[in-house]
Amino acid sequence: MVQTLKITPQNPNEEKGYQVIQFAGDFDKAGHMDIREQLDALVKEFKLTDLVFDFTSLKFINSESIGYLMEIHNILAKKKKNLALVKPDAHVKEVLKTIGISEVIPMHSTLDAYLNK
Amino acid sequence: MFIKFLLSFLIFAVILGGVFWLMDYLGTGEMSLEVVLMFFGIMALYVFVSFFWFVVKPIRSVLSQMQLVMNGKKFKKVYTRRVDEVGVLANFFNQMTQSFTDVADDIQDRNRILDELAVAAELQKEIFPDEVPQLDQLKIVAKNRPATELGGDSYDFIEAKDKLYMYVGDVTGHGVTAGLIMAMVNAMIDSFAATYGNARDVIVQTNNHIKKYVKPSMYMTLVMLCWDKATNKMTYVGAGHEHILIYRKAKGEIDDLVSGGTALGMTEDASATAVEKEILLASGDLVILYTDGITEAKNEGGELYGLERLKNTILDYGQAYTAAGVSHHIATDLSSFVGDESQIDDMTLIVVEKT
Repeated sequence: MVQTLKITPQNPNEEKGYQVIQFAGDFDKAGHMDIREQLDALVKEFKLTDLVFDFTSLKFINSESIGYLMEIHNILAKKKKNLALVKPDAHVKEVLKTIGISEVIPMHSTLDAYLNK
Repeated sequence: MFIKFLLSFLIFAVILGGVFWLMDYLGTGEMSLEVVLMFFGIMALYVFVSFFWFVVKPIRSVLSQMQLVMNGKKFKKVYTRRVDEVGVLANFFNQMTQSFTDVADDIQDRNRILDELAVAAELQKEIFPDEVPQLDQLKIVAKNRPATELGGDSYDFIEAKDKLYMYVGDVTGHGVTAGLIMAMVNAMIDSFAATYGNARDVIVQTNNHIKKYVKPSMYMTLVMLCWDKATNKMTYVGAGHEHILIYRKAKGEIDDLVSGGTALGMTEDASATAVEKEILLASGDLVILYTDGITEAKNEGGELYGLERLKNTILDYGQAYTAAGVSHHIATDLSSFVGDESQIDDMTLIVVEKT
Protein backbone atom coordinates (compact mmCIF):
# COMPACT_ATOMS: atom_id res chain seq x y z
CA MET A 1 0.00 0.00 0.00
CA VAL A 2 1.28 3.46 -0.93
CA GLN A 3 2.13 5.62 2.06
CA THR A 4 0.30 8.96 2.01
CA LEU A 5 2.58 10.67 4.50
CA LYS A 6 6.17 10.05 5.54
CA ILE A 7 8.14 11.56 8.39
CA THR A 8 11.91 11.71 8.48
CA PRO A 9 13.50 12.55 11.82
CA GLN A 10 16.74 14.48 11.42
CA ASN A 11 19.70 14.07 13.75
CA PRO A 12 18.99 15.81 17.06
CA ASN A 13 20.98 18.97 17.72
CA GLU A 14 21.97 18.27 21.33
CA GLU A 15 23.87 21.54 21.66
CA LYS A 16 20.93 23.76 20.73
CA GLY A 17 18.36 21.36 22.17
CA TYR A 18 16.16 20.75 19.15
CA GLN A 19 15.27 18.06 16.65
CA VAL A 20 13.65 18.54 13.25
CA ILE A 21 11.17 16.08 11.79
CA GLN A 22 10.44 16.46 8.10
CA PHE A 23 6.94 15.75 6.80
CA ALA A 24 6.29 14.77 3.18
CA GLY A 25 2.90 14.01 1.63
CA ASP A 26 -0.71 14.53 2.70
CA PHE A 27 -1.59 14.83 6.39
CA ASP A 28 -5.12 13.50 6.01
CA LYS A 29 -6.81 10.56 7.75
CA ALA A 30 -4.73 8.00 5.83
CA GLY A 31 -1.53 10.00 6.36
CA HIS A 32 -2.29 10.28 10.06
CA MET A 33 -2.60 6.48 10.27
CA ASP A 34 0.69 6.12 8.38
CA ILE A 35 2.77 8.10 10.84
CA ARG A 36 0.89 8.03 14.14
CA GLU A 37 2.72 5.10 15.70
CA GLN A 38 6.17 6.39 14.69
CA LEU A 39 5.47 9.97 15.73
CA ASP A 40 3.87 8.97 19.04
CA ALA A 41 7.02 7.00 19.88
CA LEU A 42 9.25 9.94 18.91
CA VAL A 43 7.24 12.37 21.04
CA LYS A 44 7.24 9.96 23.98
CA GLU A 45 11.00 9.52 23.82
CA PHE A 46 11.76 13.17 23.08
CA LYS A 47 14.34 14.45 25.57
CA LEU A 48 15.40 17.84 24.12
CA THR A 49 13.60 21.19 24.44
CA ASP A 50 12.23 22.00 20.99
CA LEU A 51 10.55 19.61 18.56
CA VAL A 52 10.33 21.22 15.14
CA PHE A 53 8.04 19.94 12.40
CA ASP A 54 9.35 20.89 8.96
CA PHE A 55 6.36 21.17 6.61
CA THR A 56 8.34 22.04 3.44
CA SER A 57 7.08 18.95 1.60
CA LEU A 58 3.67 18.75 3.24
CA LYS A 59 1.01 19.29 0.60
CA PHE A 60 -2.23 18.98 2.56
CA ILE A 61 -3.43 19.01 6.14
CA ASN A 62 -6.98 18.40 7.40
CA SER A 63 -8.74 19.41 10.59
CA GLU A 64 -8.28 16.06 12.35
CA SER A 65 -4.54 16.22 11.75
CA ILE A 66 -4.46 19.72 13.19
CA GLY A 67 -6.20 18.24 16.23
CA TYR A 68 -3.38 15.71 16.42
CA LEU A 69 -0.82 18.54 16.33
CA MET A 70 -2.70 20.12 19.24
CA GLU A 71 -2.49 16.82 21.10
CA ILE A 72 1.30 16.66 20.57
CA HIS A 73 1.64 20.29 21.61
CA ASN A 74 -0.18 19.52 24.87
CA ILE A 75 1.89 16.41 25.60
CA LEU A 76 5.11 18.39 25.13
CA ALA A 77 3.83 21.42 27.04
CA LYS A 78 3.12 19.20 30.07
CA LYS A 79 6.80 18.18 29.97
CA LYS A 80 7.87 21.84 29.59
CA LYS A 81 8.92 21.26 25.99
CA ASN A 82 7.94 23.13 22.83
CA LEU A 83 6.49 22.25 19.46
CA ALA A 84 7.08 24.52 16.48
CA LEU A 85 5.98 24.38 12.85
CA VAL A 86 8.31 25.69 10.14
CA LYS A 87 8.28 26.22 6.38
CA PRO A 88 4.64 25.42 5.59
CA ASP A 89 3.74 25.89 1.91
CA ALA A 90 1.13 28.51 1.01
CA HIS A 91 -1.87 26.16 1.18
CA VAL A 92 -0.91 24.50 4.47
CA LYS A 93 -0.03 27.89 5.96
CA GLU A 94 -3.43 29.26 4.94
CA VAL A 95 -5.25 26.31 6.59
CA LEU A 96 -3.20 26.59 9.80
CA LYS A 97 -3.70 30.35 10.00
CA THR A 98 -7.42 30.08 9.28
CA ILE A 99 -7.98 27.73 12.19
CA GLY A 100 -5.85 29.94 14.39
CA ILE A 101 -3.37 27.30 15.48
CA SER A 102 -0.55 29.85 15.19
CA GLU A 103 -2.01 31.44 18.33
CA VAL A 104 -1.09 28.25 20.18
CA ILE A 105 1.81 26.66 18.29
CA PRO A 106 4.51 28.98 16.90
CA MET A 107 4.76 28.91 13.12
CA HIS A 108 7.78 30.29 11.23
CA SER A 109 8.81 30.56 7.60
CA THR A 110 12.31 29.15 8.28
CA LEU A 111 14.04 27.07 10.92
CA ASP A 112 16.47 29.92 11.63
CA ALA A 113 13.57 32.29 12.21
CA TYR A 114 12.28 29.93 14.89
CA LEU A 115 15.67 29.29 16.47
CA ASN A 116 16.46 33.03 16.56
CA LYS A 117 13.05 33.98 17.94
CA MET B 1 -9.14 -44.86 18.80
CA PHE B 2 -8.87 -47.70 16.27
CA ILE B 3 -5.52 -48.84 17.69
CA LYS B 4 -7.08 -49.02 21.16
CA PHE B 5 -10.04 -50.89 19.75
CA LEU B 6 -7.76 -53.32 17.80
CA LEU B 7 -5.48 -53.95 20.80
CA SER B 8 -8.39 -54.69 23.14
CA PHE B 9 -9.84 -56.94 20.43
CA LEU B 10 -6.59 -58.91 20.08
CA ILE B 11 -6.12 -59.25 23.86
CA PHE B 12 -9.73 -60.36 24.26
CA ALA B 13 -9.39 -62.84 21.35
CA VAL B 14 -6.19 -64.34 22.78
CA ILE B 15 -7.68 -64.70 26.30
CA LEU B 16 -10.98 -66.11 25.02
CA GLY B 17 -9.21 -68.44 22.56
CA GLY B 18 -6.94 -69.67 25.36
CA VAL B 19 -9.91 -70.35 27.68
CA PHE B 20 -11.78 -72.30 24.98
CA TRP B 21 -8.66 -74.27 23.97
CA LEU B 22 -7.98 -75.19 27.59
CA MET B 23 -11.60 -76.19 28.26
CA ASP B 24 -11.76 -78.28 25.08
CA TYR B 25 -8.28 -79.75 25.44
CA LEU B 26 -8.98 -80.82 29.02
CA GLY B 27 -12.32 -82.38 27.91
CA THR B 28 -11.67 -84.21 24.59
CA GLY B 29 -8.11 -83.44 23.60
CA GLU B 30 -9.19 -81.61 20.40
CA MET B 31 -11.28 -78.55 19.38
CA SER B 32 -14.90 -79.37 18.42
CA LEU B 33 -16.85 -77.39 15.74
CA GLU B 34 -19.33 -76.10 18.35
CA VAL B 35 -16.52 -74.62 20.41
CA VAL B 36 -15.01 -72.91 17.36
CA LEU B 37 -18.42 -71.48 16.35
CA MET B 38 -19.09 -70.31 19.93
CA PHE B 39 -15.66 -68.65 19.96
CA PHE B 40 -16.35 -66.73 16.76
CA GLY B 41 -19.89 -65.86 17.97
CA ILE B 42 -18.62 -64.34 21.20
CA MET B 43 -15.86 -62.52 19.28
CA ALA B 44 -18.42 -61.06 16.83
CA LEU B 45 -20.57 -59.89 19.75
CA TYR B 46 -17.51 -58.34 21.36
CA VAL B 47 -16.58 -56.57 18.12
CA PHE B 48 -20.10 -55.16 17.80
CA VAL B 49 -20.35 -53.99 21.45
CA SER B 50 -16.87 -52.49 21.61
CA PHE B 51 -17.21 -50.80 18.19
CA PHE B 52 -20.45 -49.25 19.36
CA TRP B 53 -18.91 -48.22 22.70
CA PHE B 54 -15.59 -46.87 21.42
CA VAL B 55 -16.57 -45.46 18.00
CA VAL B 56 -20.27 -45.07 17.32
CA LYS B 57 -21.43 -43.64 20.66
CA PRO B 58 -18.88 -40.80 21.00
CA ILE B 59 -19.18 -39.81 17.32
CA ARG B 60 -22.95 -39.90 17.61
CA SER B 61 -22.86 -37.56 20.63
CA VAL B 62 -20.80 -35.01 18.61
CA LEU B 63 -22.96 -35.46 15.51
CA SER B 64 -26.18 -34.96 17.46
CA GLN B 65 -24.84 -31.60 18.76
CA MET B 66 -23.75 -30.68 15.22
CA GLN B 67 -27.24 -31.44 13.99
CA LEU B 68 -28.67 -29.11 16.66
CA VAL B 69 -26.30 -26.35 15.48
CA MET B 70 -27.28 -26.88 11.84
CA ASN B 71 -30.98 -26.73 12.74
CA GLY B 72 -30.41 -23.54 14.70
CA LYS B 73 -31.35 -25.19 17.98
CA LYS B 74 -29.77 -24.90 21.38
CA PHE B 75 -26.64 -27.03 21.63
CA LYS B 76 -24.17 -28.07 24.34
CA LYS B 77 -20.43 -28.38 24.49
CA VAL B 78 -19.14 -31.93 24.08
CA TYR B 79 -17.04 -32.80 27.11
CA THR B 80 -14.40 -35.52 26.66
CA ARG B 81 -10.96 -36.32 27.98
CA ARG B 82 -10.10 -38.37 24.96
CA VAL B 83 -7.07 -37.35 22.93
CA ASP B 84 -7.81 -39.58 19.92
CA GLU B 85 -9.81 -38.75 16.78
CA VAL B 86 -13.05 -38.43 18.73
CA GLY B 87 -11.37 -36.02 21.15
CA VAL B 88 -10.08 -33.96 18.20
CA LEU B 89 -13.56 -33.95 16.64
CA ALA B 90 -15.19 -32.89 19.93
CA ASN B 91 -12.57 -30.18 20.45
CA PHE B 92 -13.04 -28.90 16.89
CA PHE B 93 -16.80 -28.81 17.46
CA ASN B 94 -16.41 -26.89 20.73
CA GLN B 95 -14.03 -24.32 19.20
CA MET B 96 -16.18 -23.87 16.12
CA THR B 97 -19.36 -23.34 18.13
CA GLN B 98 -17.52 -20.94 20.47
CA SER B 99 -16.58 -18.88 17.37
CA PHE B 100 -20.25 -18.95 16.33
CA THR B 101 -21.23 -17.69 19.78
CA ASP B 102 -18.60 -14.91 19.63
CA VAL B 103 -19.75 -13.81 16.15
CA ALA B 104 -23.39 -13.86 17.26
CA ASP B 105 -22.46 -11.71 20.29
CA ASP B 106 -20.53 -9.31 18.01
CA ILE B 107 -23.52 -9.04 15.70
CA GLN B 108 -25.80 -8.36 18.67
CA ASP B 109 -23.39 -5.68 19.96
CA ARG B 110 -23.09 -4.17 16.49
CA ASN B 111 -26.86 -4.07 16.09
CA ARG B 112 -27.22 -2.48 19.52
CA ILE B 113 -24.60 0.18 18.66
CA LEU B 114 -26.28 0.86 15.30
CA ASP B 115 -29.63 1.23 17.06
CA GLU B 116 -28.10 3.65 19.56
CA LEU B 117 -26.41 5.62 16.76
CA ALA B 118 -29.73 5.83 14.94
CA VAL B 119 -31.36 7.23 18.09
CA ALA B 120 -28.47 9.71 18.53
CA ALA B 121 -28.74 10.73 14.86
CA GLU B 122 -32.46 11.38 15.36
CA LEU B 123 -31.69 13.46 18.46
CA GLN B 124 -29.06 15.39 16.50
CA LYS B 125 -31.60 16.16 13.78
CA GLU B 126 -33.77 17.65 16.53
CA ILE B 127 -30.94 20.05 17.30
CA PHE B 128 -30.92 21.40 13.75
CA PRO B 129 -33.52 24.12 13.25
CA ASP B 130 -36.91 22.94 11.94
CA GLU B 131 -37.32 26.11 9.99
CA VAL B 132 -35.03 28.77 8.67
CA PRO B 133 -36.16 32.22 9.86
CA GLN B 134 -37.19 34.63 7.13
CA LEU B 135 -37.01 38.34 7.82
CA ASP B 136 -38.16 41.21 5.64
CA GLN B 137 -34.54 42.14 4.99
CA LEU B 138 -33.02 38.67 4.76
CA LYS B 139 -33.80 35.50 2.84
CA ILE B 140 -31.94 32.49 4.21
CA VAL B 141 -31.38 28.99 2.85
CA ALA B 142 -29.55 26.23 4.76
CA LYS B 143 -28.44 22.76 3.71
CA ASN B 144 -26.65 20.06 5.72
CA ARG B 145 -25.49 16.57 4.81
CA PRO B 146 -23.71 14.49 7.46
CA ALA B 147 -21.12 11.98 6.26
CA THR B 148 -22.05 9.43 8.95
CA GLU B 149 -25.03 8.88 11.25
CA LEU B 150 -23.62 11.49 13.61
CA GLY B 151 -22.08 14.53 11.98
CA GLY B 152 -19.70 17.12 13.37
CA ASP B 153 -21.18 19.98 11.37
CA SER B 154 -23.62 22.25 13.04
CA TYR B 155 -25.71 25.29 12.20
CA ASP B 156 -28.46 27.19 13.89
CA PHE B 157 -30.47 30.40 13.92
CA ILE B 158 -31.16 32.03 17.27
CA GLU B 159 -33.31 35.09 17.75
CA ALA B 160 -32.57 37.00 20.95
CA LYS B 161 -32.78 40.63 22.02
CA ASP B 162 -33.67 42.08 18.62
CA LYS B 163 -30.89 40.15 16.97
CA LEU B 164 -30.72 37.09 14.75
CA TYR B 165 -27.59 35.00 15.25
CA MET B 166 -26.69 32.56 12.47
CA TYR B 167 -23.75 30.23 12.68
CA VAL B 168 -22.03 27.38 10.91
CA GLY B 169 -19.65 25.16 12.89
CA ASP B 170 -17.50 22.14 12.24
CA VAL B 171 -16.17 19.87 15.00
CA THR B 172 -12.94 17.97 14.28
CA GLY B 173 -13.92 14.66 12.70
CA HIS B 174 -17.39 13.19 12.99
CA GLY B 175 -19.10 10.43 14.89
CA VAL B 176 -20.22 10.21 18.50
CA THR B 177 -17.62 12.55 20.06
CA ALA B 178 -18.06 15.19 17.37
CA GLY B 179 -21.85 14.90 17.73
CA LEU B 180 -21.65 15.41 21.50
CA ILE B 181 -19.41 18.48 21.20
CA MET B 182 -21.66 19.88 18.51
CA ALA B 183 -24.69 19.43 20.80
CA MET B 184 -22.84 21.00 23.73
CA VAL B 185 -21.78 24.06 21.69
CA ASN B 186 -25.28 24.42 20.30
CA ALA B 187 -26.78 24.52 23.79
CA MET B 188 -24.15 27.00 25.00
CA ILE B 189 -24.63 29.38 22.08
CA ASP B 190 -28.39 29.26 22.56
CA SER B 191 -27.98 30.11 26.21
CA PHE B 192 -25.28 32.80 25.79
CA ALA B 193 -27.16 34.50 22.94
CA ALA B 194 -30.05 35.04 25.35
CA THR B 195 -27.68 36.38 28.01
CA TYR B 196 -25.18 38.50 26.09
CA GLY B 197 -26.01 41.20 23.58
CA ASN B 198 -23.37 40.61 20.91
CA ALA B 199 -21.80 37.82 18.87
CA ARG B 200 -18.29 38.35 20.22
CA ASP B 201 -19.28 37.71 23.83
CA VAL B 202 -21.27 34.65 22.78
CA ILE B 203 -18.19 33.21 21.03
CA VAL B 204 -15.77 34.08 23.85
CA GLN B 205 -18.01 32.58 26.53
CA THR B 206 -18.67 29.45 24.46
CA ASN B 207 -14.92 28.95 23.91
CA ASN B 208 -14.02 29.48 27.54
CA HIS B 209 -16.62 26.95 28.68
CA ILE B 210 -16.03 24.37 25.97
CA LYS B 211 -12.28 24.31 26.65
CA LYS B 212 -13.00 22.75 30.06
CA TYR B 213 -14.78 19.78 28.55
CA VAL B 214 -12.99 18.78 25.36
CA LYS B 215 -9.68 16.98 24.97
CA PRO B 216 -6.81 18.89 23.30
CA SER B 217 -7.19 17.14 19.93
CA MET B 218 -10.83 18.20 19.63
CA TYR B 219 -11.97 21.67 18.62
CA MET B 220 -14.72 23.34 16.66
CA THR B 221 -14.32 25.97 14.01
CA LEU B 222 -17.25 28.32 13.75
CA VAL B 223 -18.35 31.54 12.12
CA MET B 224 -21.29 33.54 13.38
CA LEU B 225 -23.29 36.23 11.65
CA CYS B 226 -25.38 38.62 13.71
CA TRP B 227 -28.20 40.60 12.14
CA ASP B 228 -29.34 43.54 14.22
CA LYS B 229 -33.03 44.04 13.44
CA ALA B 230 -33.04 47.46 15.04
CA THR B 231 -30.19 48.91 12.95
CA ASN B 232 -30.35 46.55 9.92
CA LYS B 233 -26.63 45.90 10.24
CA MET B 234 -24.78 42.65 9.91
CA THR B 235 -21.67 41.74 11.88
CA TYR B 236 -19.60 38.57 12.05
CA VAL B 237 -17.22 36.85 14.45
CA GLY B 238 -14.95 34.01 13.41
CA ALA B 239 -13.54 31.16 15.44
CA GLY B 240 -10.98 29.67 13.08
CA HIS B 241 -13.57 28.83 10.43
CA GLU B 242 -13.52 28.87 6.63
CA HIS B 243 -13.78 32.12 4.72
CA ILE B 244 -16.98 34.12 4.45
CA LEU B 245 -17.89 34.72 0.81
CA ILE B 246 -19.88 37.82 -0.08
CA TYR B 247 -21.31 38.09 -3.55
CA ARG B 248 -21.70 41.75 -4.51
CA LYS B 249 -24.58 41.77 -6.93
CA ALA B 250 -24.02 45.32 -8.23
CA LYS B 251 -20.46 44.51 -9.29
CA GLY B 252 -20.82 40.79 -9.94
CA GLU B 253 -17.81 40.17 -7.70
CA ILE B 254 -16.97 38.14 -4.63
CA ASP B 255 -15.40 39.50 -1.46
CA ASP B 256 -13.49 36.78 0.33
CA LEU B 257 -13.30 37.52 4.06
CA VAL B 258 -11.04 35.57 6.39
CA SER B 259 -13.30 34.75 9.33
CA GLY B 260 -10.39 35.11 11.80
CA GLY B 261 -10.18 34.12 15.44
CA THR B 262 -9.16 30.79 16.91
CA ALA B 263 -11.12 27.55 16.80
CA LEU B 264 -13.31 26.92 19.86
CA GLY B 265 -11.53 24.77 22.44
CA MET B 266 -8.06 25.63 21.16
CA THR B 267 -7.20 28.35 23.66
CA GLU B 268 -8.12 28.89 27.30
CA ASP B 269 -9.43 32.38 26.59
CA ALA B 270 -10.65 33.60 23.21
CA SER B 271 -11.15 37.19 24.23
CA ALA B 272 -7.86 38.26 22.61
CA THR B 273 -8.62 36.71 19.22
CA ALA B 274 -12.41 37.04 18.84
CA VAL B 275 -13.23 40.24 16.99
CA GLU B 276 -16.66 41.37 15.79
CA LYS B 277 -16.62 43.19 12.45
CA GLU B 278 -19.34 44.69 10.30
CA ILE B 279 -20.29 43.50 6.82
CA LEU B 280 -21.82 46.21 4.65
CA LEU B 281 -24.56 44.75 2.48
CA ALA B 282 -26.49 46.18 -0.42
CA SER B 283 -29.76 44.81 -1.78
CA GLY B 284 -29.24 41.52 -3.65
CA ASP B 285 -25.88 40.77 -2.01
CA LEU B 286 -25.35 37.21 -0.83
CA VAL B 287 -23.40 36.01 2.21
CA ILE B 288 -22.26 32.40 1.91
CA LEU B 289 -21.12 30.29 4.87
CA TYR B 290 -19.88 26.75 4.38
CA THR B 291 -17.87 23.97 6.01
CA ASP B 292 -14.71 22.35 4.66
CA GLY B 293 -16.68 19.25 3.66
CA ILE B 294 -17.62 21.29 0.58
CA THR B 295 -14.22 22.70 -0.38
CA GLU B 296 -12.43 19.45 0.50
CA ALA B 297 -14.89 17.17 -1.33
CA LYS B 298 -12.91 15.01 -3.76
CA ASN B 299 -13.76 13.62 -7.17
CA GLU B 300 -12.72 10.23 -8.52
CA GLY B 301 -9.30 11.60 -9.47
CA GLY B 302 -8.68 12.83 -5.91
CA GLU B 303 -9.04 16.48 -6.95
CA LEU B 304 -10.53 18.87 -4.37
CA TYR B 305 -13.67 20.89 -5.15
CA GLY B 306 -11.82 23.83 -3.64
CA LEU B 307 -12.57 27.41 -2.77
CA GLU B 308 -11.98 28.71 -6.31
CA ARG B 309 -14.52 26.32 -7.83
CA LEU B 310 -17.05 27.33 -5.14
CA LYS B 311 -16.45 31.00 -5.91
CA ASN B 312 -16.83 30.40 -9.65
CA THR B 313 -20.16 28.65 -9.11
CA ILE B 314 -21.39 31.61 -7.07
CA LEU B 315 -20.20 33.99 -9.78
CA ASP B 316 -21.96 31.90 -12.45
CA TYR B 317 -25.34 31.96 -10.73
CA GLY B 318 -25.24 34.94 -8.33
CA GLN B 319 -26.50 37.49 -10.83
CA ALA B 320 -29.58 35.60 -12.01
CA TYR B 321 -30.63 33.69 -8.93
CA THR B 322 -31.83 34.28 -5.38
CA ALA B 323 -30.35 32.63 -2.27
CA ALA B 324 -32.37 29.48 -2.93
CA GLY B 325 -31.22 29.29 -6.57
CA VAL B 326 -27.54 29.85 -5.76
CA SER B 327 -27.69 27.28 -2.96
CA HIS B 328 -29.32 24.78 -5.34
CA HIS B 329 -26.68 25.36 -8.05
CA ILE B 330 -23.79 25.03 -5.60
CA ALA B 331 -25.23 21.69 -4.42
CA THR B 332 -25.79 20.52 -8.02
CA ASP B 333 -22.33 21.57 -9.20
CA LEU B 334 -20.70 19.91 -6.19
CA SER B 335 -22.69 16.74 -6.71
CA SER B 336 -21.75 16.54 -10.39
CA PHE B 337 -18.07 17.23 -9.50
CA VAL B 338 -17.77 14.43 -6.94
CA GLY B 339 -19.83 11.96 -8.99
CA ASP B 340 -20.01 8.55 -7.34
CA GLU B 341 -17.03 9.19 -5.07
CA SER B 342 -18.14 8.70 -1.45
CA GLN B 343 -17.63 11.72 0.79
CA ILE B 344 -15.85 11.45 4.11
CA ASP B 345 -16.82 14.76 5.68
CA ASP B 346 -20.05 16.50 6.61
CA MET B 347 -21.20 19.37 4.42
CA THR B 348 -23.12 22.47 5.45
CA LEU B 349 -24.05 25.48 3.36
CA ILE B 350 -25.92 28.63 4.33
CA VAL B 351 -26.77 31.36 1.84
CA VAL B 352 -28.15 34.64 3.16
CA GLU B 353 -29.56 37.21 0.75
CA LYS B 354 -30.07 40.86 1.61
CA THR B 355 -33.38 41.83 0.01
